[in-house]
Amino acid sequence: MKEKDNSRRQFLTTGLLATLAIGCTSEDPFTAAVDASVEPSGEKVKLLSVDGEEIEVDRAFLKPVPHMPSVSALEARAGFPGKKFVMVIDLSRCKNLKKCQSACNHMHQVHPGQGWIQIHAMQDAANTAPYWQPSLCMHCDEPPCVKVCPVDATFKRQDGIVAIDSDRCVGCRFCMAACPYSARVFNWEKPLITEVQAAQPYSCETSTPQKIGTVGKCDFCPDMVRKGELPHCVTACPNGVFMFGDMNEDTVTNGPETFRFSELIKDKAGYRLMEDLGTKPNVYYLPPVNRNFPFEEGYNTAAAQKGA
Amino acid sequence: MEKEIKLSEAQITADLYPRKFGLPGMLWTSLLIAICLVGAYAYYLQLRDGLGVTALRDYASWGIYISNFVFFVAISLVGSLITAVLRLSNVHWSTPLTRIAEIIAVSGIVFAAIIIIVDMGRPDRFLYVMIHGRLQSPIIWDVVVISTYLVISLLLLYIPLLPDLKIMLQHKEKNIKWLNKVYHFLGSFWVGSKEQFRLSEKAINILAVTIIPVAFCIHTVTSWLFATTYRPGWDSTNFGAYFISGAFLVGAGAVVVAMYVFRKAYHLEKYITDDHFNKMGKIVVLLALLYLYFNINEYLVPAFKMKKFEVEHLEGLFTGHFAGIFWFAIATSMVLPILILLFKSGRKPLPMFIAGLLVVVGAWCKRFLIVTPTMLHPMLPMTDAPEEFMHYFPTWQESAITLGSLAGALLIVTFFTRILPIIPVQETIAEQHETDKDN
Amino acid sequence: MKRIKTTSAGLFFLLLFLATSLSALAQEVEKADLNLNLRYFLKNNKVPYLTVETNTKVERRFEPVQGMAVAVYLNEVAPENLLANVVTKEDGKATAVIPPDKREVWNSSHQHTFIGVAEESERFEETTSEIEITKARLAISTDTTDGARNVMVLLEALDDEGNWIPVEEADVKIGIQRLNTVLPVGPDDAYTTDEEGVALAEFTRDGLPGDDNGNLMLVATVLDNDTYGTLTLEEAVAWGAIVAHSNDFDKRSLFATRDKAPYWLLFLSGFIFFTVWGTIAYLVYLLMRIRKLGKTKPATKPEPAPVELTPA
Repeated sequence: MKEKDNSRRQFLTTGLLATLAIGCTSEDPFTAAVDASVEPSGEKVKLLSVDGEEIEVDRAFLKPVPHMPSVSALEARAGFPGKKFVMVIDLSRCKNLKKCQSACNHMHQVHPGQGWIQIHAMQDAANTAPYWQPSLCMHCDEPPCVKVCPVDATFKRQDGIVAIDSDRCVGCRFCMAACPYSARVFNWEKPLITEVQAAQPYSCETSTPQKIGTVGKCDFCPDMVRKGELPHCVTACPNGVFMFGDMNEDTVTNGPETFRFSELIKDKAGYRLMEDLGTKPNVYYLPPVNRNFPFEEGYNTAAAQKGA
Repeated sequence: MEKEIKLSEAQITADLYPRKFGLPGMLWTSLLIAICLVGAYAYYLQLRDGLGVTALRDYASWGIYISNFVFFVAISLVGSLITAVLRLSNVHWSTPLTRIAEIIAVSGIVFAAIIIIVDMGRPDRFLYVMIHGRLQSPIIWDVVVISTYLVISLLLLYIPLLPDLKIMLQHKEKNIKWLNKVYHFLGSFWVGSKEQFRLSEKAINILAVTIIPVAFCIHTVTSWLFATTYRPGWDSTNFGAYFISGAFLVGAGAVVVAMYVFRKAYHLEKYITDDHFNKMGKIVVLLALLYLYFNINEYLVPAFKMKKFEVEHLEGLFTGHFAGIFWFAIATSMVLPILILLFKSGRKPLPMFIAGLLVVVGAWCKRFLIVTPTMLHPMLPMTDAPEEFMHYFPTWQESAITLGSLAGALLIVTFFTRILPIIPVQETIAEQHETDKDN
Repeated sequence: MKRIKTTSAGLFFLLLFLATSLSALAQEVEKADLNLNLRYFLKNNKVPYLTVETNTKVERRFEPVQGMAVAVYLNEVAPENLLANVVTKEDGKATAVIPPDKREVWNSSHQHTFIGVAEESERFEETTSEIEITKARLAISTDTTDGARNVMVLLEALDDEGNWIPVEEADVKIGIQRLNTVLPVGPDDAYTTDEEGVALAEFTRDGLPGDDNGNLMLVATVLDNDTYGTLTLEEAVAWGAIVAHSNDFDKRSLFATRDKAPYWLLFLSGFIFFTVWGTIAYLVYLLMRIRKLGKTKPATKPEPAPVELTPA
């Protein structure tokens, strides 16, 4: 105890004063903080520092989390260098609220009745426990859908995302047949979007605008990552079921909580779906143990939503 | 035995020369054209409104278009069976059937290509398959192999046709006027010299050898469109052989039906004899037994294990929703034809015709069963989807387009008989000479 | 089926019409409540800025209000105290800074009030919101004792005499900057400062992947403190692991793009393709020879007389 006090004393006198002294010089306060992937917007703002000095700062950094620049269609096909996105779905927290589904459908112009996220009522055998299982595109490392695409309309990016180019898709639906997770939906009819929306250039990062005769599916929302935010399903879920992050940083978050990915998977015995198929998904599941809600409540919430 | 009846060259030529349609012919052709037109209108609707006019939805995302595609590819395989396999095994009786088989093959493969474009969500981007084609995709393999097979089939149809074209050119007054120019363009260089015969014989032999592996490829690759996925009912190493045996069967069945119809319509009893039916009957029975063998493999082995993903699918076929059509297909495409054709009295023209029809109808149902039940048994449950997504029954547009494509294929065969001899004239004459010599 | 569809569609439009006309009526009677929030940020003890957030309750949940004009004032609502006029963006947020010409006012006190005023609009009444902020600063220091890696964060605030005084009992989050989130350095999310203004945390994330040099970015955050706002300070520390991330992106595989097809596939399919099409080419050559034979020697063999056709 005494030793600890001593070390703290020492630390206070030396370390902190030194850092404060450095902190108060007039050099660019952001050099240390700047992430290589963040590019300045070019727009400079003159402002007062907290010490009353006049300084110039790029507007891009006047945010809790800076924006990453948007990219061309070609760069979007390559994805973020050095990242590998991963999702963890905690089955013990899901009660079939479907907020993830409605947020996702809304943001991606998904046709009514279809969904990129499905919440299955699962029961593996008669005497095993039932549970709610949200399922979406697994962004497999060896994606069977990408293997069969005849025109590179669906492709694997270096950040692990399996994306779709709706300007390329010929609508053969081989990928839908190949996907064992039924993650893909098809635009059978004209998408219900405004003409202004339809006139936007297609981006495989937003997966919009939806186009008739092409396939759609979960895209892991790389556009939200660029904005410094989380995918829509993650933020929409009030129970924190979905956790998203970069496997290369070994971290996933659902917003309020942030976990070290490897520890989380180890502690809670995380697993992936249909491991025997060799698809190597990037979506992990935490088993439905120590649940926050009884399974039956999922039916109540679903019924209440229908009534509302 | 009928071969002993001597036929003069003139008689043969006159008998086998293409003729104007009679009233039944006109009615038949008009009916086919009408069906095609309805199909074309339905396709216009589909082009305008998208694939939403079909009953296809996210689970059953492939339906009767794909079934029909597989059916066409299957039926087109007969060209290689009758022409190549029998030719290489030195079987001569099949000569009068080669052209029937080849034209069925060509029209089948043409409509296989057409129906696959119909199935595309974005037919306007068809060229992307060429521009952005990706060699890893079995679809690209299928595109390549189907176009190859089409070219080879056309050659196999064309080269033996050269002597007959010459005969056609000798009777210009009997032909449809404008077609004479086509005959001239296609065959005016054929003089029938020994060297020309030698070269064409050589070409046909090379073709006969080439078409067999290509034919195996085309149907194996088509089976891989299914077998390269993980789905119950498709995830099978047996699929290529299973598809090929089924294809040979339906092709042979189609040839039997065509033999009967042409014989009746053109009074070709002297050329398509009861003996031909007898021999074709034996082939069909052999092929049906072979297909039965593969079917037992395909269903019994997974049914023995009843793996989790397979259970629902197999139960749906054996006793569930698809049981009716499943047992109908098994009965019509295999069991009944075998029962009919195992007996000599069953290998007479009329029972053969019925057996052939059963085989073809059963084969179409079989293709439906290969596609749809599997699609409706995904590996995760079907959840949160509208009621219509859970079932599949084709809409009228879809059915009209499918029927239209079938009618279109028949129309090609029908028109072919009008403009070119459906039974090789020159080869029949040559064989007649040979039998004369033998006697 | 179709009739039901049209009827239900009609019903839907009727309801929609009723709903819109009702809401239009409602708006005339009573305007919705606008929530206006000001937040104060200080990043790396240097740049203070404010965010303005507007939202409103729509059907039991909050939705951001876009295009809301908000004027931000320093200390009191007067034209000479105007810091910025901002308009909220799609997410209902806008950012304001303290312009250089406010230096005297800013330097005059350790404590300031920011006032946001949203003008009356068609949807909302005039709304005001204010926050009072005391200038504060953070410092990070790290050390390693007995193999334990410690992070110490000092929080100090300015008093009215211009002295920096340690802040006691404040929550400080100490973590590592990750993609769009901060991973706590240890099992706890936040640490409380003691009487000396120091929050002490132990780093237990051994082996956590750092950048190319093994550096991790420590982040100390005082989040939405009633007195000091949100303060963040970052400091690089060489506690990360250097991990080489393998990536199959550029490798030849069945799931790569068309220009990355595996060699075995290229060779196999190429071999088959050229064998078959080579044969076809040879066949076409044979055909050309047959054609040539017919064209060059028409007279070698006299044409047989046309056979008379007798109807069968």
